[in-house]
Amino acid sequence: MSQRQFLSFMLGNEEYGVDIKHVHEILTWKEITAIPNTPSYVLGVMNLRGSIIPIVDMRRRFCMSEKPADDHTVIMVLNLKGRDKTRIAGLMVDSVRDVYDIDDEQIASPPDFGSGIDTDFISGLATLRKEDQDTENLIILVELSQLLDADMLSRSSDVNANIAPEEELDPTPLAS
Amino acid sequence: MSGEFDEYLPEFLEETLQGISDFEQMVIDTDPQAGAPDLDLVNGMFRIAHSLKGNALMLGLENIGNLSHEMESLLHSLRDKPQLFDSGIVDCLLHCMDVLRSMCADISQGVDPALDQPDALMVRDELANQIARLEGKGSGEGAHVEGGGKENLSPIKNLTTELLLSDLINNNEAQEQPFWRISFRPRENARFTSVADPLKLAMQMSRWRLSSVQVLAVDQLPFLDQMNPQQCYLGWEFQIIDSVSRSDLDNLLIPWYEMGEISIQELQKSPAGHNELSGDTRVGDINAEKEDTTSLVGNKALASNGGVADSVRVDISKIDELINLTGEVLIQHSMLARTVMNLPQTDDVDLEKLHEQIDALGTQMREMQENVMFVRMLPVRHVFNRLPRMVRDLSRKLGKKVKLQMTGQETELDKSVLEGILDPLIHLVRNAIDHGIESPQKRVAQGKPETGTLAVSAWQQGGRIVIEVCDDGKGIEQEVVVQRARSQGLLVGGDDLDAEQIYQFLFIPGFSTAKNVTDVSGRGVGLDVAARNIRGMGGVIDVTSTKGRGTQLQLKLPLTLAVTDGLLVRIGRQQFVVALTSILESVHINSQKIQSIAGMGRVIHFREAYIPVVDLRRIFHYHDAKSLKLDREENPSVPHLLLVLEAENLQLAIPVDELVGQQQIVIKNMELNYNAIPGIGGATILSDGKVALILDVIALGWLFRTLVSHRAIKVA
Repeated sequence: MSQRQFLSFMLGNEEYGVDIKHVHEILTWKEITAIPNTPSYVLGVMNLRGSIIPIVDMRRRFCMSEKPADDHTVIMVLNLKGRDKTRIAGLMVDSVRDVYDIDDEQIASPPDFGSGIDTDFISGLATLRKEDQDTENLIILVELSQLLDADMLSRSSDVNANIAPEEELDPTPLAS
Repeated sequence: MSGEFDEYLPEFLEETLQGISDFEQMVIDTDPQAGAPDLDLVNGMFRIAHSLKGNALMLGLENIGNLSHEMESLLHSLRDKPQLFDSGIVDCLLHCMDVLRSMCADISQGVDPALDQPDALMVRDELANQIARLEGKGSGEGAHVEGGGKENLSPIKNLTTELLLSDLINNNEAQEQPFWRISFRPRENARFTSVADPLKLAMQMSRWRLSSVQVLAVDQLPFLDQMNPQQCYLGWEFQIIDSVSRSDLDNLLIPWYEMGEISIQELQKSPAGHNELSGDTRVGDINAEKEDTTSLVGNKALASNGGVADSVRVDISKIDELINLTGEVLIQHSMLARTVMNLPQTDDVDLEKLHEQIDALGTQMREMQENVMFVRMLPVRHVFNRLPRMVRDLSRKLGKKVKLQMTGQETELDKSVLEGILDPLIHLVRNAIDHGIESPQKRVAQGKPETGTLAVSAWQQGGRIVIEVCDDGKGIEQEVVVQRARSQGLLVGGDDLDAEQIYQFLFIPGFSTAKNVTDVSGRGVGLDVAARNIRGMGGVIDVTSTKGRGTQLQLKLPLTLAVTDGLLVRIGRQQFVVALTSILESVHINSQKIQSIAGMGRVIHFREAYIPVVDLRRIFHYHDAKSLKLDREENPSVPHLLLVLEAENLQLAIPVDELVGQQQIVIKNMELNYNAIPGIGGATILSDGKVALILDVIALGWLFRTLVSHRAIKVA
């Protein structure tokens, strides 16, 4: 039986967990530079001690409603092992909550939601009983390798798909 | 793979690749036409093969070890019969280098290289045949290693275990006196593992030339039935001919001190000037170890004074980290400076002095940053070294005689630029030999020396590096180029082209003036690729040529790709950096000067040319629609501000809101943690710690062109 540690974070009322060995550090909200031609969930890039790292808005990633950044908003800096290389990226989440020890056998595979919910990002579900209060809470374990996959990025960075028609751009009248 | 030595592999590979290129150079320096080769060269090659063998076997890479062993045998036989040297041997040795290179490539990918690959088998047959020929045994067909003379080593697989100590001894023909005598007597209860195997010590020693290896008997050898198979009863004594520095010896021997008693005796004063007492014996106990450290320190100091090369191999990522850190420190500094600037004047703080000190700190830190940048610089020799081999192979293949002259090999360039110029340079050199230099008959008929000269040189000119490829061949025939351009439909009319315009055709994809396509060049790919690579690095190619006299190609490159001068501009809410080299001008213009053209976009009439105005929103799509919204869209009284950019041979004007300022920027890679974004050449960190994107003007031009052609198709 093997046990792993998970760091949990909140998105709305839902609690998510990532394997703690991937977590580099937690940063408070900093200004982010937007980048063009990217999927909407890539907020932009940030300077992490001289390296440029992308920031992923987890609410947008999971197609949840948007919420402006507040005092609790943090960026979890993780290393993501993708198919081709390991990247360092920041995940913007509502807040960081707790660290749990979870046994492998406590983890259930995600149910099939049909085509409505993409379960590629979920590696499993774990239900934890809190000893002090007699409550149970569900932790959704996130599959990190799928978050910033190269294929997904290139899909929407096709430039020609994004070209706005000329007429919409500059409303100021041209000289005739 | 061998596993236990994996950590030494990168170093081994680097050393081996260096060895291969040195070896190649030596092979090429021997001139088979001149008869017997220079013995120094043969000895040099032998040394490289020998240390390669030693290193490879030490790491358990038997295949490389075995191949180098066979090479060594060939060189050994060659030393005995230098008069039999011919171009066959040269080819054979060069093939060995090719096979070794591909083996190294295998290893770096984690594959154990096999000796039974077709290439390897062929080269081993070749080796065996050459050895047989030198040994006078006739062609031994398919006999892999039988020609090894006294070293009959088949089956080859067992080489490590069958390796004889005598094999380590260098043929000491010159009767050189040894410099060092080293003896090693294992402790009685020494436990030999695969890591500390006495054979390994012998192998390690053999990186130097040894004049003798002796087995030292112990005082009393027990009877056979009383022998403990776990115990080592023998000792060894090595005599080294090379004047190795004491610190090198110590470095090698340190792990062995705990295995037994090691004595080092200096037999001659080495020229490097070691002033140590000769003949100190050390016993591998703690006390002696302590004394060792002191003498080691002393030795290192000596080595640095004694002209022994003082250099350290450092992983490039460590340097990049250092560059990042210095950049961060500078940002921190400017933030500190700003805070101090805003401090109110009070009596108990001497603000004047504080400012002064912060300024001084800033100067020093910028100096530090510059110095750190220079650590990445490497001499251009690393790229030039690839040329002699190529020139030799090519000229032989094409039946031409070419003499290669190289100058300025020590000119330094950033590692990334250096990597970027390798392919273009190879293209240019191939081109010069294939198209430039004529066949010997033609040259003689034209009164030129039979052998053509290809001069490759490098020098620094201002903030740029110039690399020149110059041949004395037939030059570029302008009429042929023009004719060809017409027949390929690239040129319509226009008879009054100047030389420069004509030469531009050479860089168009698919353009070639060669009448016959060879596998060397002539397909018209090459020059355009070279030009694109060079321009991609912010460099230019200049061509000058005189018909019948030769062609001169100059590559002008930035010293480094990591730092550039840029202009920070604001477009809406975004800040971008544009490299100064691609900016032609910035102009304030009123609306009347911007003309709309039939749905294809807008142009400005500027300095006798019509330049398309490209709104970046057509290329860059942001989620926040207001990101690139210009000020004048809110307030039409703001005049148009356009930045006129030069992208290869296309000019573009992009509307901007503000020119923020010019500054030196450190270019950061976006692909490291994210992906490449078309039109964005990277990012940089501004003095307030924020990230700004760098516009890739050439890619913008290219994107704009596809944009226009898409539209044109749609309209049609």
